[in-house]
Parts: sequence; C-alpha cells; structure tokens
Amino acid sequence: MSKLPKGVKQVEENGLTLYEYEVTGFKTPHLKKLLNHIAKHPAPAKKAKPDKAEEGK
Amino acid sequence: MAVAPQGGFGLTVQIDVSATLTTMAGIEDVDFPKLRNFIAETTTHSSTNGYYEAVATGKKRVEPFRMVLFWDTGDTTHAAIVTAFDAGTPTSFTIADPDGDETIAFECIIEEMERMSRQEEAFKCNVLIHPTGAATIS
Repeated sequence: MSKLPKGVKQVEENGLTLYEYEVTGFKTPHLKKLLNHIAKHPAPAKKAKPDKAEEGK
Repeated sequence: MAVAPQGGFGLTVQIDVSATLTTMAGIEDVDFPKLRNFIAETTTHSSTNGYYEAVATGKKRVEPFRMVLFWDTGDTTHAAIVTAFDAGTPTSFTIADPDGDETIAFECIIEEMERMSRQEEAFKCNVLIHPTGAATIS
C-alpha cells in the first residue's frame, strides 16, 4: 500500500473506508478528491524556530 | 487565477447518528439544498420604462431537497433517516462537494420517504429533506 500524505489517516466509518485530513476534518472515500482538498487547504506553516543568536541573548 | 473546475462525482453527506455526524453510505444521487432570498415586487405605475422592481424582504430559506439512496435498513445512517422521520424533530445534516471546498451544515426534518422497487432497478428510497433554520457554510 502506498504511503498516505502527511496529515491524512484512513478511518472506518459506517462500513466505509474514508480518508480524513486532520487539518480540516474533511473525510472522503476518494483519495484523489482528498488530494484536491489538501491542495486548496494546505496545513498552516509552522512557526520558524528562534534564531540561535537571539536565543543566547 | 484560472478557474479550476472540479468533477461532480464523490460528494459526501453526513447525518447525526447518536450525536455523531456519520458519513452516509449508498447514495445514488442528491441535490444540494437551494438557498433562497424571499423577494417582494415593488413595481409601481411610475417605475422607469415599466420595468419590474423588487426588494429583498430579509426572509431567507434553505429549501427542501431530495436524496436517493440504495435502501438498506441495516445501515446505521439509513436507520437514522427512519428514526428522524418517526421523531419528526430536526436532526443535524451536512453536505460537502467532492473536493471538500464547502460544507453546508443545517438542521432538517425528514419530510418524505418513498421506497421504490422497479423491475429493472435496484431497491431505492427517495428521501425528501426539509431544512429548518439557517445553513452554515464552511
């Protein structure tokens, strides 16, 4: 089985196998539709780590 | 930015099953609920060039819509339709387009259930869903 994209998990619900995108909670049985959804709703960028020089101050 | 159309196949519908929104199985087709603004005519005998005029009354409605299911009473979401029909009380419902761009959430009453058994078709149930209150689009 191919690896699922980051933030995506497979869930069983009501006898259906669904792909769930954890960022938005959207669920669909179609991986292609989920990839479209992810492209339109990217995960928020992580905060940049503080500069080491800044940390030392 | 260019328009990127999405295909119409693969929408998802959820209904409240024991206080959890659960993805419905066995949907052949479903119309999206139509959102309506009630408009009142305000044309007068002095309207410019005799053209119709109108004003929004401020009243809005999420219109009833139909969903056709390959009917299976053993399915929990289909059983939830029966429960909601019997209760006659509003139940939570969501419908999302295939790519999940928009999810429309609302409360609805199950108005009609019409089982259909035609010789050359699968056994189905045509459900009329009657929304009440506002829809939330996210």
